[in-house]
Amino acid sequence: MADAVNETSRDRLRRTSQINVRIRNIQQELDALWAGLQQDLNTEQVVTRACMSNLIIYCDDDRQTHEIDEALPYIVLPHPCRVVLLTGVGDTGEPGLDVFVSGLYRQLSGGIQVSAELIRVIADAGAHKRLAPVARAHLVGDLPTTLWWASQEPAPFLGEVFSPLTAMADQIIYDSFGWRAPTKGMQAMSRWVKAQSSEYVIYNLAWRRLKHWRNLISQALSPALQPNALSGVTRLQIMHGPHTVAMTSLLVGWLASRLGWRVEGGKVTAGKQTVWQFGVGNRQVPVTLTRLPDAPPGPLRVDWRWREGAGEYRAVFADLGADRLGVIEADSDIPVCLVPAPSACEAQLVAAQMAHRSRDRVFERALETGNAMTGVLLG
Amino acid sequence: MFESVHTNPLLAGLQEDQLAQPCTLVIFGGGGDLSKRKLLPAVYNQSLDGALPANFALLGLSLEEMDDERYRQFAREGIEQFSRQPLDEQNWPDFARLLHYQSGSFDDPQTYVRLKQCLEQIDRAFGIPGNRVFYLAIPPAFIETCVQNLSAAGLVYPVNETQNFSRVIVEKPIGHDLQSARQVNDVLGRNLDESQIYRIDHYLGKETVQNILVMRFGNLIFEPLWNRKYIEHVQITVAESEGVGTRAGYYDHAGALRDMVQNHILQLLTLIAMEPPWSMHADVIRDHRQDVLNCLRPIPADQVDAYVVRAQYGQGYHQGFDVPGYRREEGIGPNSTTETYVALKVFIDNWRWAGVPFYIRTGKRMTKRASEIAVHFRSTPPILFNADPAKPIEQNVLALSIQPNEGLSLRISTKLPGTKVRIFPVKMDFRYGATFGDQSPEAYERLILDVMAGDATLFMRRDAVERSWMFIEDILNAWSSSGVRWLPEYTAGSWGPMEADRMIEDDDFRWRML
Repeated sequence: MADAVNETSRDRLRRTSQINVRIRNIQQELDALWAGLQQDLNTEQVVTRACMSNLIIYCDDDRQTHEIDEALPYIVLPHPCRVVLLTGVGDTGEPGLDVFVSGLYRQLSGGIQVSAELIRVIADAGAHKRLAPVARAHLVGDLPTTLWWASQEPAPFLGEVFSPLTAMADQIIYDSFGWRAPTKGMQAMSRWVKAQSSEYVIYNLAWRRLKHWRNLISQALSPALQPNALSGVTRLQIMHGPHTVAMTSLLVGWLASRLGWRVEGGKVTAGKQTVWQFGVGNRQVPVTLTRLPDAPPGPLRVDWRWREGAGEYRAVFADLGADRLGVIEADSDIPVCLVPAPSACEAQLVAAQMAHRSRDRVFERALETGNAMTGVLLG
Repeated sequence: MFESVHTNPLLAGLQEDQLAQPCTLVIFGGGGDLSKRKLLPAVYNQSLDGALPANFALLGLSLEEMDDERYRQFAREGIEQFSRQPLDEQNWPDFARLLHYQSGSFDDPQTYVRLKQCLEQIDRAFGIPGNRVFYLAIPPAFIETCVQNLSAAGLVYPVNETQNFSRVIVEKPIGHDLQSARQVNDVLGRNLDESQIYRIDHYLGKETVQNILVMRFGNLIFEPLWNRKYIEHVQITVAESEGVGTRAGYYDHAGALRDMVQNHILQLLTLIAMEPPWSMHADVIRDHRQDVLNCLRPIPADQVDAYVVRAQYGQGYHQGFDVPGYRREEGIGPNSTTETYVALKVFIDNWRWAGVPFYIRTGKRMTKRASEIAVHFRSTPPILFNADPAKPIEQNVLALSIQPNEGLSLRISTKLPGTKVRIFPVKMDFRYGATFGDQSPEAYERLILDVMAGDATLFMRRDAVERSWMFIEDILNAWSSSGVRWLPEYTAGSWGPMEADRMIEDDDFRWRML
């Protein structure tokens, strides 16, 4: 499903050729790019542009930059913007910075609609501190600015690049998926978020990936349908694939923060399993996270048990593949059901997030709780 | 039942996107044309977008004999033909299992007994807590018997006596005049609480229509100018290029005034003219829209000809082909005096709009399919660039295009490059489709989800329906007592009759070319 959508988006946008420019000529070359497009049209057609935001993207290297560059249509088609694509350490023609400009546009019957002006700035190993000033000088005024921290390193670990970029952003998007040190990364990110004033909208794409899970769990365990499923929880077991410890912890953080659970203890067993103890009222609820190394990434199975009177009840939620989640087993009157969970690539998630410009307190509370859980593990 | 964060803490943060409550959607007329073209594709798109509640099922109910499998095939055909997003084979089996069908006559009480049993089975199978949305996609003549039977069979829950909800969506037309509208509303009112009734007008679900409020009250630059001091006149056009088609039987009894003005166009008018609401709550918005209807200046019988033009399309061309005039269409009598075009000049007698004419026109077989609201601002003072009466500067026009290309445009004056001051109008265009790339959801997608969520903002309340009829009825009465046997004709494929041009030109304005 996501692939089909992606193909469509990709096909609908065309790209001008990429021009290698000097930094001082960036704006001039972008203007020339517009003029060049107009020259190719007949007299009744015009070039138009709608610009909703600035989007600064920070990538670690050329490979990642290339992947994101290819995925840009998924962002700029629904959300036209000026894109400043920064490469932390890449191949540059000469020492220092290398800059390219290009445009993404749609051919319409009345002319051309510019969806993005793209400024790509590549730094060599010694020049990455100079990226932020270039970005700052080329933002479109009066528009919100989003920073997509696409790096595999948690942003606080690269403070000298990250901090000046955050200073020009209204919204910061990052992705904990694939972090090399997820536990430390979560803790660092959570501390950083907590230390910020209220001006930033901070968002982890993992949170958006969890949306379908949150929808399904919240509806199936609704107190209106299962009066004690949430309040009477006795045990929770989650199985997840590789590279998604942070994401799964966020899921638990969400449940804990919303349902008032207190983290009381935690330990890692056999490297693949983490067990937390949560206090719920005067009871303890064990929550077990099990990593399945050969499974696809993300949560795979959530086994929820609760007590009601003398009875024990159970509902098992699972990723059924093919963009579907469902309730697959239920020792309760929850019906077995399937719901569509359309998958989206990272760029589509960014595009969806860019439309949300207010802070997500539920996410921040989940992150905070996730941080408290990590703190217990790290001592 | 309405779930909130207070009753389910896990819903926090999800409600913005996921308002729809678990329910079964029952479509009366589920085997009909509206269902196939609009409703089933709308629900399918909601499913693809992950917007349906986890506990959801759909039951089609019609006279045709079909089993569930045949109905799923029927739905599939409709989706393949009319859906905004293409049918996804991978997802189809999951969606198809939500679809059920029951055949039955709408006036047979046994139908409702069986319906109740069927819904209870569906509730158990899909974990639905008894919530129901009944969509009456049926001819108006069946509304009364349908809601009476629903109520008698215990399928309508008394409001406040149960946590579960039952909501009824009623398609237009609500009546064919004020009296019959009141009768329909009385029947609805006897069997349902007003909060359970959702009178749907799909125009209100369109993206641009919803954007009227955002444009007016989400931007500071328009509202200070949005009054009689700066606005000269407003034109509302809803033009169709098609003829009467297969709707001859209905249309010849309705006509353009009933078919388009009484509902769609007057609702558009209320959104353009309403005062700023103090909250987005459904009843606050509807109260403010109602205030506009209350202020519509009635058109006295002896002045109808001065304020209203009606006409019929004659023979002409459509997309390069000869097309017959209205009276030669299949199913239309040769002496029909039903109007296929109507133009009105209306006034809203309140402080904001006193003296500002609102010109409305709608018709079939017009030049093209186009719906638009155009706000014409007053001219700049006759000094500086506008000093020469022979070369007046064009006024600013803000045009909200509703279909086919949803968007808005603003006409401004600008200097042409060169050493001389030559001023030329330039249109700045904003189109949803071009700007945002993705297709907007269909109106029905939004509206059905709103009903599942219990949000009545975009639906018409009883008082709005009746007030609209009250305004229209003065015109209808004058027409019926006029005894005319012949209406002015306009050429099929044109923008309407000369009489309508004359009406607006007498005020020194012209209809817009769309």
